[in-house]
Amino acid sequence: MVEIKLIVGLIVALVGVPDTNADCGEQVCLYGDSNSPGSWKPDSTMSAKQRQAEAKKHRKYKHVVLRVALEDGRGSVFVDGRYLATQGPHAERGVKPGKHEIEVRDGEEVIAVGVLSVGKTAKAVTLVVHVDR
Amino acid sequence: MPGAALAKGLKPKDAETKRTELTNAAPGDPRAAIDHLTRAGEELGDPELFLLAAERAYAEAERARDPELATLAEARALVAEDIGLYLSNQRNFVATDWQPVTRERAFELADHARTLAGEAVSLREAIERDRAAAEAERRRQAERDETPTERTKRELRPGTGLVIGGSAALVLGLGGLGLLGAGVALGQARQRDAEALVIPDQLDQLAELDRQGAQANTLAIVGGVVGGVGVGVGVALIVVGIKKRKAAGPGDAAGLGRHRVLMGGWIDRETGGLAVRGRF
Repeated sequence: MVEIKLIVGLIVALVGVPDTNADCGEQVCLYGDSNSPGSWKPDSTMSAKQRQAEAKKHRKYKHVVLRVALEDGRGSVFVDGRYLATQGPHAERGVKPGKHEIEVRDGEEVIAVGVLSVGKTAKAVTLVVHVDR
Repeated sequence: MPGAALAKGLKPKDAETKRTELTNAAPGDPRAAIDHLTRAGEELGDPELFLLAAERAYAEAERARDPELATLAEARALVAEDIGLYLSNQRNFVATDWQPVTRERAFELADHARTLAGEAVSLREAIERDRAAAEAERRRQAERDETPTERTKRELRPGTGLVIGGSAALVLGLGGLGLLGAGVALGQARQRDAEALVIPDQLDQLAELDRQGAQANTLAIVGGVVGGVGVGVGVALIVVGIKKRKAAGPGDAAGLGRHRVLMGGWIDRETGGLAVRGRF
């Protein structure tokens, strides 16, 4: 358990997000720089209408930097249907606070899917997905 | 902030226009082009750009026989496959405003990318096998170069067989001469013993000495014949062999100094002998 915490801490340090207010579920951990970075609801999805409504509702808020890190395996990350790199200069995306559908897949296998609710006071959030869990 | 400026959505036609611009702007250097296409693919989330990067990496891996590039080709192809499979899902496709390719193309692309990823793995394995085989051959060659067998060199040198055969005949002949000497010495010794006898008191011993003397004479005759023929034939063969080596040229003659026949002998009151040592 201590080892897992150390690994997660190292990942967060590498991606540059303060290790505060971690919300760790069974497979996904959420880290942010405020008291309420958000929450993760596994196995949930959003329709096109829901996405549009969320975008409209939060359009006046500033962007929050979102990063997704994969631990112990490979996969591709999709945020509201758009690919997000996990390394390199395009490994972060500005998203509005509110709900966003995130899916991680490796070929035919969907490793994780759920809805991330980004807090309105957050400036940066990092989702760490443990591929092997 | 990467991505924020492009958050208005993307349609296949717009993506195609951007893709054309990006591929036209790709550097000429293959590795730089792979990197350029990858970065563009990451920014636009475009599976076609990842597939192009994978194809370039595969071609370059094949040309340069570089297993790392084959691994890179596999990684890029897997991302292209992931995006293709994601967008080929009906719910995913209609729920997003980010559609770099049509759903039909997403199907085809995923299939193509999967095949390419498999081929990249096979290519990497083939390159690694070739490298291992080349390394093993290089080591074998180095070992052969480090310890060349003297025997091979000797067999290649002309006249060696004649020299070896002549030396053997010479050894035999010298052995024969040894027998000749021994026979003569024994005969003379028995003669002296016989002259020292008192006749008729020691008549029995005289008969025995006569028999031994006859044996010594036979030994001397056989030794003389074998010695004469052996030495004659041996010397002749060695001379012909050496002439043949000299006639073959300086390269072959260069080894002549290392190949010599040494003869020696010893004699005392009781025994005598000859020794021949050869190096070919």
